[in-house]
Amino acid sequence: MEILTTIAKLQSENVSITYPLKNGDEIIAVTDFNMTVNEGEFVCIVGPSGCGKSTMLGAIAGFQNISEGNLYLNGNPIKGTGRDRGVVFQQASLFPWRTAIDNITYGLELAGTPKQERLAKGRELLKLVGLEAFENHYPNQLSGGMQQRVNVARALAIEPSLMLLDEPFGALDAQTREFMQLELLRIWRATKQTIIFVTHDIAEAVYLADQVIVMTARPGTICEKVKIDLTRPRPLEIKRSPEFMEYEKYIWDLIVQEKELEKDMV
Amino acid sequence: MKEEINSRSQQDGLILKKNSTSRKNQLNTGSFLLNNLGLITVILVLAIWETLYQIGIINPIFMSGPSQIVKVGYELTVSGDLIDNLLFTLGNFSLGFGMAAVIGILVGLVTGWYRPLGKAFDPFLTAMLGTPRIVLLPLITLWVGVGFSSKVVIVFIAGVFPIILNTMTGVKNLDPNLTRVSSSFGASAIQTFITVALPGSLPQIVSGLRVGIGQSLVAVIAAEMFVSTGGIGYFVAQSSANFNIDRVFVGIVVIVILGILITSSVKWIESRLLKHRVE
Repeated sequence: MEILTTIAKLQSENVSITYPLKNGDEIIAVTDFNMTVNEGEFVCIVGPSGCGKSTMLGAIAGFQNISEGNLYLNGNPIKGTGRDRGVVFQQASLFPWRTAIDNITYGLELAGTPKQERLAKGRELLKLVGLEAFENHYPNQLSGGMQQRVNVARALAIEPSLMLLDEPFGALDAQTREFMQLELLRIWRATKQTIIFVTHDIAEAVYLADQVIVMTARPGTICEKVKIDLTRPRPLEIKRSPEFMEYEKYIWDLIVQEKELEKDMV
Repeated sequence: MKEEINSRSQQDGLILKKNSTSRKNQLNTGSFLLNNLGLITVILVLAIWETLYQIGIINPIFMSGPSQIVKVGYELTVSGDLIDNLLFTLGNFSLGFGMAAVIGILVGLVTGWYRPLGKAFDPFLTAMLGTPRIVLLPLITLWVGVGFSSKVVIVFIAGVFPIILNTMTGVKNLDPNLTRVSSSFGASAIQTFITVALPGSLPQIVSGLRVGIGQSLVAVIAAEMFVSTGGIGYFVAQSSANFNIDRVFVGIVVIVILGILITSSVKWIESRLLKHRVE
């Protein structure tokens, strides 16, 4: 009975993802991935490049087929892409021919939401991400940080059940990046969304997450799940606190250890 | 392209500034000359041409002069000869090119979107793009006759292939990130096509239209010169056969103006459609 009352937002059971190679072999991108994400939780997946973290996110988004295991969203198996998940991509993937508001309301347009309703929702989200004054600007008239705000707003517009962010701040400069992290936490609080956020930046993961999933490469799998017990709301200064640095070092060591092991094996 | 032009004009501006600081007293005349250099050379060439014509160095049997062209052009406009031929040409051209635009864009979108179809179609496209399509004129005349329809068909054939090629390339080179976005928002294939493929390939579609319009214009004039009973091309060919050199020049000037008008209208349409590319 208890199982019924506590259905996880996202449940990943023994998920493996393999790619076929041209010579008939297979490459294992992700193996034995087990994870539970609860309603309203902020989970970061961190790991070196090539550890399969983006592939895993792609599977949750529905771009990527899984080879083994099960993936459940609200208790239902994930089959393909859908408007129940909002994806924010690494690159600024805004439509260059659409204004900020038209980019934000893209998903609603596909869903057939009436124009007035779309506009209202679009304006509300522009306000949420602090871009009221840029409603009719085209992406090339916006800075990198602004573009990623629109990107986040576009994913929020469809009121997804789960938000998936794939290194969204990777291309931004250091200051903008920190500011965007703060903004993302504010938006997360305001919308009460569940977020899975992929990054290779350990400090970013520790700062944002309730739970950091540390992945290692070859094969891409979870090496440890670290619960982050820092108080919220978290000001940017928290990054200089001893607790924060301890978490950062702990995760750093996990990744380095794995790298060392790998070297020994070779 | 646009950026290139912008940066070039900025560079021009810089050079201009340097010049004007070094020679302050000539600042105004210097910049005026530079800004209107094109216009000045045109006036200069016309003036030299007219002078040579007036003092009799140019033989009026082989070449006309500017004032003479204006005079004969005016007479022909008043008599209605010129307008009739112009309307005939424009009729051929607009119908043929309109069909080329609609069919070219549709075929280009579909062949760009479905790769196998594009591959199957590619040999024909390559063959047709490398060929001066006017060579088909005798065949077309044989099939559909000398009149209106043969011109429409040759204009269509001249314009449609560059439009197909550019549209196809535009769709093929779509940013895969953007198609991924549309699929992440649960777009159907048709929705992706309309919301991503079409607007995403618009810049290439427009450049295809620009190439196509030029080639269609060449085709309509050439076709009229070879097999026709009307049109500006016919008018030029007829006048030349009758050694009426003034009328030949009037015809050429009309074609030049037509070309300029069509090109600038394409530029205007381009700036309207591709607003987001202009800062």
